[in-house]
Amino acid sequence: MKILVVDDERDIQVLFEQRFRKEIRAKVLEFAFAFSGEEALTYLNMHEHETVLILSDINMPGMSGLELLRHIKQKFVKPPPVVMMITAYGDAENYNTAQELGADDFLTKPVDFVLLKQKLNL
Amino acid sequence: MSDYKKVLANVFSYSTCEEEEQQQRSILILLVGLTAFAGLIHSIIYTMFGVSEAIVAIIIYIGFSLFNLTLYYFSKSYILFRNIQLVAILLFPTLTHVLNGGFEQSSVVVLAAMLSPLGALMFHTPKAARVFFYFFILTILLSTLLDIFTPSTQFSIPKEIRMVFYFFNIVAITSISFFLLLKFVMDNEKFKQLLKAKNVELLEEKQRVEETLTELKRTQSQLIQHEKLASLGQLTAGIAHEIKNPLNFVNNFSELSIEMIDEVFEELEKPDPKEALENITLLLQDVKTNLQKVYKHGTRADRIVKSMLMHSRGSTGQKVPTALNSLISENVTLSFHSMRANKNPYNVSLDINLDENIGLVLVIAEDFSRVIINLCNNAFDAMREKLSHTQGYSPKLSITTSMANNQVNIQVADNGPGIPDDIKDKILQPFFTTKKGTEGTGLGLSITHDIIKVHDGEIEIESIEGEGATFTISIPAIN
Repeated sequence: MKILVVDDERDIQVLFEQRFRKEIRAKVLEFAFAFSGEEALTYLNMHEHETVLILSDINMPGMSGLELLRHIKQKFVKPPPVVMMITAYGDAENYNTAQELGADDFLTKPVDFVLLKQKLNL
Repeated sequence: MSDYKKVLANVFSYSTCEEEEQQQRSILILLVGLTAFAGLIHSIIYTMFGVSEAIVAIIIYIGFSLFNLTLYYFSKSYILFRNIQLVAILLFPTLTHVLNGGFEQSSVVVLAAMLSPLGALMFHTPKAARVFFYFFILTILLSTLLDIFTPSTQFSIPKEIRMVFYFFNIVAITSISFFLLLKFVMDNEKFKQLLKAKNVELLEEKQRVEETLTELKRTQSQLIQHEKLASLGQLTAGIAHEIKNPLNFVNNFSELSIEMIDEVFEELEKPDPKEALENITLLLQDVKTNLQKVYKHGTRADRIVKSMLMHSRGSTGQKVPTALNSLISENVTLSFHSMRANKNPYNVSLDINLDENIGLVLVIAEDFSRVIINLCNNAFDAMREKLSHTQGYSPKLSITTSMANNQVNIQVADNGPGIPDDIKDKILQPFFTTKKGTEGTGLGLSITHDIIKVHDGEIEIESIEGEGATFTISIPAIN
């Protein structure tokens, strides 16, 4: 399963790679990283249908996670990938907007990796 | 003013003059009347004692005075009336002296000529009074010479009457002189007292003004402190958000490291030392990376706390060489996150372009941070306002630094609603705010302006209404 992680914090890559080091080693999961909404769209255009799950932060300079979500849900018509949004704790407004835009699931910040693994059925 | 003065003022048509002037005119008219009356009494007494020859000059004086009053009544020229009367007062006692024959026969009536310079002192200028006085002295001199060189008179006045008039003439003239001087001295004293009281009043007033000024200064510094706290309050949420990210990394990477160390211990238990060594090396490499990350994010959190403290504590007022670019980017991020964490957050593209040639710049770091925060906060507020009524609008904030001619330029440009031309000149003034209710203190830009002035810098505002505003700060770079 290929997961695209979108966050403006670059160290998120090392963190995910270590948190899922066993799954990556066992080739159960494959990760790609994008550090902005724009970068994520470019990646998705180049690797259409490879990605099954997108994990995206909302607060990012430039294109926000919500805009990215809108793009994905509107433009990638034939089966759009599952999008899981990472929202700040108590940010009901963004949560609701994301839900309206068709977000499939939510995680709150800071990411609870145990919970994420559960959601990924690992 | 008493009634007779009002009557006089009406008769001689000067009721429109100032009160003091009216007072003076009525006194002179009264004086003319009184002298004429005194002259009349004088002539009656002389006639009763059978020396009617001695009253010629007096009768002339009375007639002349009445004529002068009539002239004044018709001509309405006070100056003419005054001058004629003063000359008359100077000349007629002398005439009496000449006609009656010397000091003795005229009972030193010539002394009455002294009333002319005295009158001039009261009703004319001091300069004119001096001239009248010299004429008075001349008159007395001439009278004395006449007395010495002319033979005694044709008629004789009884000695008793002469003595009485002697007495009256001397007493009257000296009394008038004395009381005038006394009045002058008393007025002077009163004036001095008044001046003293005024001085005390002024001193009190000055003290009150100074107190008010001190209070104003205190209020001003309180207001500045208040503004600082208000902006700190606004920043707190942003700071919390900013600090959460690095702390999250610190927690995750240290947790991972613990796991990995456990794995290392597990590897140590394994029978094949070669394979274990390989795995342990890999694990330790990861642990090292993780600890580097922990250190990196710990430092980052530390920096954020420091910049928060910078905002809460008073300025050191010390310009120190500061890495300006990182100060700017830290504060832009802080402002961005506080906007995100506060009421009505929205999405903004941040475009930060920092000229790497800018190294250390002499700034008061605490104060300069406020400048960046203030400008960014304003931009975010302005763009939120535009967003609330503009379809298809994407807010964008651009921060650009550049070097030119030994000057560092910092540009904060938004694509918000812009600043209307009619308030462009006012926005740097204290207490000017376009924000509603209690949202703005009206001090942000004013304090920003003050801080930039302290840095020998300038702030320039460009704006096209509806398209955005650009604030450009230039401060001297370090050589």
